[in-house]
Amino acid sequence: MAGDTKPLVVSIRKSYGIDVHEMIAQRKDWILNTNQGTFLLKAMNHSEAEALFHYSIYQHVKGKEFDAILDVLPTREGKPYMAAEEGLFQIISWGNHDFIRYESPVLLDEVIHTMALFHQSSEDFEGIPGSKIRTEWGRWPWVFQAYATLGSKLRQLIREKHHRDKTEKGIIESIDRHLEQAIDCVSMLKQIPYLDMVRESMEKRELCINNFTKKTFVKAQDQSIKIVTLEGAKHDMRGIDIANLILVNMEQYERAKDIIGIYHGYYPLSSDDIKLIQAYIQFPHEYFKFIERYYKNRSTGSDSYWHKKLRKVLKIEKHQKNFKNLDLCGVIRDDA
Amino acid sequence: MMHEPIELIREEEKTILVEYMLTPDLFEAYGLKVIDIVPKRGIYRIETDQGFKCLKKMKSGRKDIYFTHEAIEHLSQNGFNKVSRIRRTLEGDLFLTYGDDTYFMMDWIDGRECDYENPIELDIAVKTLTELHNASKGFITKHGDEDRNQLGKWPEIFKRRCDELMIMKEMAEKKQEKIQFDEVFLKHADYYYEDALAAYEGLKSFDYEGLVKKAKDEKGFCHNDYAYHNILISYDHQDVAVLDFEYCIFDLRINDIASLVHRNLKKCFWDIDRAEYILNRYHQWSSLSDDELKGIYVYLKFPMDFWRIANQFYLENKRWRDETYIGKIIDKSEWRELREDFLQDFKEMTGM
Repeated sequence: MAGDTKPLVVSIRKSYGIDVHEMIAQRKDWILNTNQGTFLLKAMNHSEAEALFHYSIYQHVKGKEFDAILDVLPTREGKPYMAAEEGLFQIISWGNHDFIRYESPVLLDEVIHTMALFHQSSEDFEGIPGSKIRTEWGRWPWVFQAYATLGSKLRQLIREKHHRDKTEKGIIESIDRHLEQAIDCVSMLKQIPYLDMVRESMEKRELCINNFTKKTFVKAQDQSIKIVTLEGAKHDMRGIDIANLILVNMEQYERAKDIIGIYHGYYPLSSDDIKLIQAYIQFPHEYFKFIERYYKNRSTGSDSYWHKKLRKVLKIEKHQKNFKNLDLCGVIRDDA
Repeated sequence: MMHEPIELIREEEKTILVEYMLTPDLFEAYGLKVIDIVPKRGIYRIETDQGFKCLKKMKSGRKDIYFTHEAIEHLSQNGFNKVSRIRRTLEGDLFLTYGDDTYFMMDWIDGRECDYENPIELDIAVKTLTELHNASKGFITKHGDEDRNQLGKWPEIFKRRCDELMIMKEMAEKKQEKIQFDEVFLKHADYYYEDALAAYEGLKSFDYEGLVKKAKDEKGFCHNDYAYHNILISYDHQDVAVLDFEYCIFDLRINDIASLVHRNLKKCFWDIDRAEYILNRYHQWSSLSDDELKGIYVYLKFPMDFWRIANQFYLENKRWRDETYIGKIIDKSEWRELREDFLQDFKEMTGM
């Protein structure tokens, strides 16, 4: 065993009572082969209070018989994590699991079903006292508006310059249409009873998985789909989760209709829910996140560095534009 | 030193917590049996046989805890029950001295931290603040000292901070080996010094003394650390609790209001709509005068964040890593055009 993992092995034995025979690095995590089976040792990037929040979601949904999530191993003291010198770690049951990709329509259907079940199970959630509860309810109109303010200011500053570098030229060339899109999205949210929807979501205590990377779901040995961890989970309206799943599949924009249609079959959506989704998927998130980073750090980093980043986010625009022409509300209208 | 909330970063939180000598004796003095302990934001949440408690080490003198305790009790007596009270030891003391340190314990209040990005919860926070300010009126204590009283001192405070900006600028310029922090500071120092001076001069453009007189007559106090994490909300919004009165002071209520506005503006690229939202809501529950609005403008004009981070680096020598300092000063200085636009629009709004 590598010398630098020895302290972890000792900590694991002390906290969990498990003997580790082998540790196989997997990016920031490890696969553990132990005397009690195979596990995933996950390095956690947040505080204990946040870890308790995720664990309380896990316990809540498990209590509602949602079993599409890998088991978390509690320590001897019943904690869902181990606090070692190296940081916080969680041990999750593991096996011959494959991380899934969303390209397969069959797998995507199962992911959507899992997500719908998760949303249903999350109702009436109550966090463990002392946990740090993450919420993003109610923020989107203000977020969109704030980015529009920022974008307008940056546009003005660049316009005032006599000489512009490549990045600034690129921003000037692209920012008008992104600002227009941002304002459109703010207007779209004004057309729905957004705060009433937020209140309703808050009453239900809705939760979102929020993370839809290639490491979020696995196909377990029994062929079922399981969520790996709830590390990114937060309170927000379920429409935001659906929107984030659509965005991850942006290159195949037509799937947006399928995703909504399939979800609606499991857990019905209203037309207002879909208008929220439409506003969220049409907002140029990555572009404005770039604008924010650039605005704050423009005195550091070379022009070629920033220009490269800008080109990357502009590629997304090509796909995102396609969402405008989709009649997503029609998906449930046809169903009615 | 003024009673200013202490900003903690993760490194410092860990340092603070390991300094807590968590031994059974400490808890026996409260007649408690400990079941579990979880750290949170530089304090401990203790699960005991008598429910959940919060253990804090006192950062300031003992007279401060008497002040804090009386302030909290005063609020409760005036119908503001959204507070956690200090729990006495078995011997009836408000605090416990253990080794070189002094601790106090409060009942733990459960709830979610208020989310200022949620208009519904920001509304609740503003309304709660108006209730707090109203309930604070008539507070008389023998435990307050001059450090707890900022009424009438804004000119002196602003002037001193202006001078400190210049002192720090000189210190940075004289450094032989400047690091990135020094460079960023020097890049913005003159600009923010001008703002600080304008804020100091701005104190003459509204009836500051009149507001001070009114506040002295009313004998109300400010929370002085009305951050989102000090407001807990239940899921159904029926229960709200305000925490951490350790920094409360006698001052104009606009200290709290302007601070709340400022905290929000930093998160929304200084969008004036957010400021208007908060002020309109406050005004709805408790009218704000024209002079108070002008006072809020002056408060926001002063570059408090920039002064504070520079002060922490050059004068207080807080032991943070260079990267932490650099990240903070960039964060606090690189939005200046947006801040400038906001201040211009807000100034027009106040009629200054």
